[in-house]
Amino acid sequence: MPLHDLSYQRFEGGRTEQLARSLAIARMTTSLLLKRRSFLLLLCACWIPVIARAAQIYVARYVPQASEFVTVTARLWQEFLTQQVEYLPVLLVALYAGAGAISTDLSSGAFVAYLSKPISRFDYFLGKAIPVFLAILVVTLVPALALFGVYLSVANDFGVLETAPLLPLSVIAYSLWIGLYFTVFVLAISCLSRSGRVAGAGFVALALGSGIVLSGMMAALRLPSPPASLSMIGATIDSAHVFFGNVSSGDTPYLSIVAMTSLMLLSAFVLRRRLGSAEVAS
Amino acid sequence: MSVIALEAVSRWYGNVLGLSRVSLEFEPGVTALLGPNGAGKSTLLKLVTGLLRPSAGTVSVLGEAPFANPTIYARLGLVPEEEEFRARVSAVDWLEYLLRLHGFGEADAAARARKALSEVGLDSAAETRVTTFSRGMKQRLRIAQAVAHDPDILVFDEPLTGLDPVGRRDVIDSIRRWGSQGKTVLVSSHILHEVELMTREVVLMNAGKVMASGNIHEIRRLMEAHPHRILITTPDPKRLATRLIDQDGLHSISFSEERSQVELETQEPDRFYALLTELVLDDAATIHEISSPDDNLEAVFHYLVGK
Repeated sequence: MPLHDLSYQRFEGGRTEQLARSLAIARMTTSLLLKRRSFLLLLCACWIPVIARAAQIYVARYVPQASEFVTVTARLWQEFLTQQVEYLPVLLVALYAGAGAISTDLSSGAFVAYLSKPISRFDYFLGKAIPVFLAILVVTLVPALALFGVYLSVANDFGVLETAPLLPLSVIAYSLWIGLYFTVFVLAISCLSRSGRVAGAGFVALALGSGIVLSGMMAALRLPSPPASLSMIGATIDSAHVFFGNVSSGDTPYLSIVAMTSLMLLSAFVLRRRLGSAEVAS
Repeated sequence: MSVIALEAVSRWYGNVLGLSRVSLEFEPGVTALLGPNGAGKSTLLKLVTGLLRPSAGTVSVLGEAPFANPTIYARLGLVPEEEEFRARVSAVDWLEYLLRLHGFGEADAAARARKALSEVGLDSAAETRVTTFSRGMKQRLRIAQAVAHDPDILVFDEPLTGLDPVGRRDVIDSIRRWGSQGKTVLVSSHILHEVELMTREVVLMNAGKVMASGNIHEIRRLMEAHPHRILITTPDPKRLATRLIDQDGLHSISFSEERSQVELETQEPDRFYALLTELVLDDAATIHEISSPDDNLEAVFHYLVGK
């Protein structure tokens, strides 16, 4: 059939909703991520702490001698999630899934292909954000819920849930909070560069460097340690107290929440400026 | 209402002027934007396709401003000048994916993707990863993704880049056919003879300005102040030159007996064409061929841009 014959193409059917178009982007991005063996290995590595926590639950139940020093309380889930942030799984997954998400499109010209399709700039952002968000949940919410499963399958009572009935909600809310925070931030960094590597380096430098540099400066000036809210990782860990309802006098979790919200708003502003009004000049 | 209308549109890149007060209207059919690199062709196409906003003036596509306007994008197909394919997916998957962004359901998108690939001659490479495609194959894929959703407006930025001769012929034929089917087709190019094969409607651009627009013959008529060359092949050039030399309106005349040619420059070409006919009818001259070197796009373009 010659190239010019388009007679078959008159389309009388309905078109999908805008959300379905964002999901199409998300699905393609996710499938490309999952094709990378290194990403799958990273996800597996991020689940190692889950095995340790599951062992902890198992030992607490079946090894009475260990019950003095191995206990299962609501604190286990908070510690697990904050450790996923502190020991970098969340950061690494966000880096891998998000740093090149937009910058690669900018450098390859795929951004032009997206912008010339009947999708809004927000649809595009959403399509890029969903895979990063889900990847972060895979190393936070999913294992945390899996630990609930382990706990419920081996426990002979529901003591943890009786003392902290809102614990599942806390886990879900805090995981979503972590996911939202890192997703928005890494995409904001990604849209600032046409190189995924530069964006990745910038993301790591800001995420890790903020706390290190600030602490170093305070130490050099012989000032007291800066509040956790001034470090990206520190603020995320600190904010957990709010979600798990165990704020003590020495903590500054509300300040951390404010700092994180501010950074998310700043990231959203950057994304809006870069994507919302983006032009393709070259 | 024109399908595409630009009114006093200017576009700056910082201090650099990309397009300067351009006013144009495009109707269904093929129109070629012609000009050297930096002429403003791509800027104009990006303004039309909503990838750029005008710094001044208004751009209207199907009655609406195209920038960030998904309604317009649904009716528009763009073949960008350069787009790398880095995604590790097959051609059919990539095309299907882009069709999903147009709102086609899974089954429709899959069927259209296969069909479009078949039409650009990539059906045998449908399952091949696009990252392994040659330059020509990538260009065919870009064309497939631009036409697969059956747009009303097609915009091709240098569409023949990277294509082999067969591919060029196919694409030229297709562009002409799409134009004759009532689609509004804009094509940018700096390859003059290929543009002439696609259309007679041209917009000649240079340094961000429109030098001329319209039918190539109409443009030529607008240039009456510029002497028009007529090349005559005759067995006796000296004799013909003698008959023409005292005519009013003759700007210059030269002849070459070796090549059996007389070349004259005049600002009244129609009168000289009539005169030559009379000379033949009166047996005052024998003429084998009359041609006008100026009556092609290249000559018009070179004259207008002074190159």
